[in-house]
Amino acid sequence: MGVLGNLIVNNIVDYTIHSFINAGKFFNVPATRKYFGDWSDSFTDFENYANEHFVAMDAVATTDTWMGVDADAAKTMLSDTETTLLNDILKLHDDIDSLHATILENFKLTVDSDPEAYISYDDLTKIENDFKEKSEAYNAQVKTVEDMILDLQEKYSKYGDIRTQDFSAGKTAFANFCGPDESLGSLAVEIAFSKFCSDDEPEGYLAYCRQKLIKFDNETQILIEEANIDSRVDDLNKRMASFIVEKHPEYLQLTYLNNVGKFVSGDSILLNDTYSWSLIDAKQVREIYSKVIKDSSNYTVNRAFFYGYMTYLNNIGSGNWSDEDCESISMIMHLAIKNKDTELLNHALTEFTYTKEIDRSEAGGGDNVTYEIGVNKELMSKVLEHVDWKTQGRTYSTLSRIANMPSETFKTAYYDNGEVRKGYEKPYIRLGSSLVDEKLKITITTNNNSYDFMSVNMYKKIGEEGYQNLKAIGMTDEDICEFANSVFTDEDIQLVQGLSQATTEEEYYKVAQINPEKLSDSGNVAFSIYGLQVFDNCYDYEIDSDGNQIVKENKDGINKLLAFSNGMFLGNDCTLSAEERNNYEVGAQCKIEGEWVYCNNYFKMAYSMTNYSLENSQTLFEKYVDLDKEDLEQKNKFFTAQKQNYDYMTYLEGIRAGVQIKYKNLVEQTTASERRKTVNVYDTQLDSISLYTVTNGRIHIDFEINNTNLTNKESDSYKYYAIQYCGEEIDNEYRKEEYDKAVKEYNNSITSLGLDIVGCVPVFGELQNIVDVGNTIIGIGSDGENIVSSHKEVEEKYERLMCEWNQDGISVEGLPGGNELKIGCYDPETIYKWNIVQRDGLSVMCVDSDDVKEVTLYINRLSEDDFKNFMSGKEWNRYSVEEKKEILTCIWTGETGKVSIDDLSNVQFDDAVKFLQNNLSIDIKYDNTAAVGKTFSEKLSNWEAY
Amino acid sequence: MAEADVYLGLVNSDSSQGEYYNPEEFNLLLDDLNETASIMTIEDAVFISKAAAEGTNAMELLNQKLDQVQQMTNRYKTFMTVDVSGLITDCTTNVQTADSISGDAIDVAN
Repeated sequence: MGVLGNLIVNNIVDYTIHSFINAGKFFNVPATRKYFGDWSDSFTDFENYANEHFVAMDAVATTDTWMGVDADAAKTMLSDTETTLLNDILKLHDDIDSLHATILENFKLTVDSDPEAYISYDDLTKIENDFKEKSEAYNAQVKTVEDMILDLQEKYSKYGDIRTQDFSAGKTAFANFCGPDESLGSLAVEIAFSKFCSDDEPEGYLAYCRQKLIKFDNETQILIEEANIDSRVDDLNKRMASFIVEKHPEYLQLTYLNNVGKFVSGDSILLNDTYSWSLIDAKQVREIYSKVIKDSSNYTVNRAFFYGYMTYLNNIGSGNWSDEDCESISMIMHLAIKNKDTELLNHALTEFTYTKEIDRSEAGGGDNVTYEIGVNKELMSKVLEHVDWKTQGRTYSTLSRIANMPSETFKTAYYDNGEVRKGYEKPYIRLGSSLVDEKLKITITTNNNSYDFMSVNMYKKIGEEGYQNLKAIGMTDEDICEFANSVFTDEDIQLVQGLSQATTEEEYYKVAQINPEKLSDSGNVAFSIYGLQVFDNCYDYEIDSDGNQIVKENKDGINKLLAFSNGMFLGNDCTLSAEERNNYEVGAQCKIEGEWVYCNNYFKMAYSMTNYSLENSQTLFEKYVDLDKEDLEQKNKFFTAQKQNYDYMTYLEGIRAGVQIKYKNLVEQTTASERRKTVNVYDTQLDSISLYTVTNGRIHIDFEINNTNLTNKESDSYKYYAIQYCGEEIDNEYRKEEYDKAVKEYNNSITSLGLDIVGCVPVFGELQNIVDVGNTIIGIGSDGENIVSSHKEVEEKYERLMCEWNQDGISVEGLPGGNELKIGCYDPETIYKWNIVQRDGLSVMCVDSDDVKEVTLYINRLSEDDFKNFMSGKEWNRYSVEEKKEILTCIWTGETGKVSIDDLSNVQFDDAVKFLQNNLSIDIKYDNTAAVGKTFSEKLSNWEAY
Repeated sequence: MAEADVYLGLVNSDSSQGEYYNPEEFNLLLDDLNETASIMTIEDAVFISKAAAEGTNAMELLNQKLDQVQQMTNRYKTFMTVDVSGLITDCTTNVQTADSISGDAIDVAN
């Protein structure tokens, strides 16, 4: 018997001696058996239903009609959690069934074994009382007789023996049946009473029967309590309750409404209990306080609610915040900022910093640990989703500014007992607000830095004129919000404000005087967003009457781009000293004759950010390659986004090349004064820009550049073809060979025209040849070490073909204004094509599926004699005819067989492609709107893959 | 998305992107789930014989427990047919709307 049992026994024994407590008790075996039987039947029915329900749950849990992340979670819920729950309910039912059986069995063993037994405390008492009356009467009569005998013995014993009658048998019989006669004396009563109270020795049979009933009752209560039905039911209820309460909040509404008052005073009485709250409690509290906040219009009256609710939310931790919580927090923060309530704001910002261990190494009996510390941007963005950046501008911008704090790393060291080593400190970050001259100031302090900045409203900062300017270059309201709130430093704010309001070259020039070194990463992002938008606003794609895609220029947009480029990139850099400017060697990235070529840091920002964006979009691209072929809308969205970055990058590259070529020409001058002039490239100016598309739909940019410092040239007009974006190292020897070959071919083509290669300029960090073709200068790379595809994931063999097949690969193209070198750069569409061909084979260009099958059959029919001109020789010695056919099938359809195409060398792969190109005699219908050409190379170049 | 999120009803559009969902066939399974759950009750009739058996403190105590067991057991029906089914429906509805949202990711990324 457990502690609980002992406790119950002690309490029960205390009152079992009182007959009134037990009055009315009975136990009816047939009725109880019937009652328990009813329960057993119900449990059985429930179990039968449950078995059907298990099947239904399993069907949902294993279905493939709904698959994915949510589906997996829901299926796990059914197959594991809810199946276990139902099993536990059934187990409880089983245990109760067993308990019922035990109760009946115990009665049988301890009270009465008769299957029809019925025992009633009151009936037994009544019988006992009746017999006690008879006993008393009997005893009274016995006493009368005994007295009479004694009297007779006293009077007449001299005459002979008068035998005493023994009445003990009758007395004992009565006593055994209904207990001793209390009238016999106090001693007898005391003895009887003590026997009656004893579990073991009840006085009289009837008392004994009653006692058995009472004892049975007591022991059965213990049995029931020890079955822990309450706790098991409670546990099962809790496992369902999070749902139940959600749907039926009235269950707990009243309970927690009573606790609201505790929050009003701002104390933490209830908060101390939150650790023991269940999810049900938490959801309920959230609901109540969300309502209070939403309904509240009186800050003063309800301030304590906000503070208390924020305390609660901090207490449960940001990891448990729902979207609804974040909405509530946004309201609290807005009220705090609006009312300059720094205490409330600081309270609300408690969970918005983080310290994360990013590296740990053992060091002399302890650890060296590197932490990352910063503001939780992701969490803040969830809050900002509920803030209107226009009507709640100060809140939105201030919170954005906080979130834009650059994350930091901090190193510290520990002893092996976990204490910080002497000379080191723990990482920390403090985020708080204060009032300075009634203005809200935010302070972020870390081990490394301390940032102070004022709250700001960027919607008001850019003003209506700025807002309309941004709309005019095609920004949506969402774009403007992102641009305007990409601020952290004061210079970021000046930049965003200046850019949004600038319209002329002079105004952009003024913006460029903001020290770029004082811009944060957020300011860089803002500048990138803006520049890309200005560029993108120059043109629209249209389809002409022949169905070709052309660029339609937007004259206002081009003027804006000219003003922006001249003011921001080509104007004199900011008002830094000469020494300071030495740090701005950006555009050139190399020295020429020992001197750094100067360029503009805003250019560097635009270039590096666009490069970053392009790389990001490349990652996205890989995802979209595998999209369903029919999902053209998604693909077009991707291509549009990537082309914008791509073309902007091309434009920036063109400017850089142009500026640097001019510089090179100037350093050819001999006098020191002339050379000094060359350093100043900031007087260079873009005079005009024109845009058009080339055959693959890519935008092509021509522009003219003038430099007032040029004195040795008759003409200051130059024309630059778009230089393809590259920028990473050539990663395989084959591509480098191809590149070098193309450069050589290019140079030969120039010299064959009777022209001289007069010098070189740096592009992509390496030297390029400069060719002076009349008034046209074309810059090309001559080294190639730093040239590579912008997409590294194309399998090498296909990449090899990309060079040969695609006009975006390495090639020299003669154009009316001069020659152009295409240097191994694959635009989004090219890379897409290559991935599709790699996946689906060359047959992807076929219009008719029968042709695909026919070529496949043709390949299957090939014999050894067919492999004489191609796919023969020593390189193919180890391949059987069947294996060669598998390779051809793979290249044609993308289907892989036993032989992996990965095993082929590049030469073998080329050979196999040429086999198909030269041997397919059937009349195959390729996509005749685009995939035209004699060779696969030409077909692929012209093919519109999407 | 963790199972706990489903429990709390924290379905969201992001987690549903890329899911496969066949509404017609899946709804048949869901209907079956609801149908089998809807009959899972312990009727009040089970207490008809209660009075004839409730002659001791123990039986009185037992009946209190049985009353709780009946309520808890019958709550399971509501739990499955209203709450669990409701959340699963929320999830699947979410799948259907996720596609229209997912396209925005490109613009955001760029």
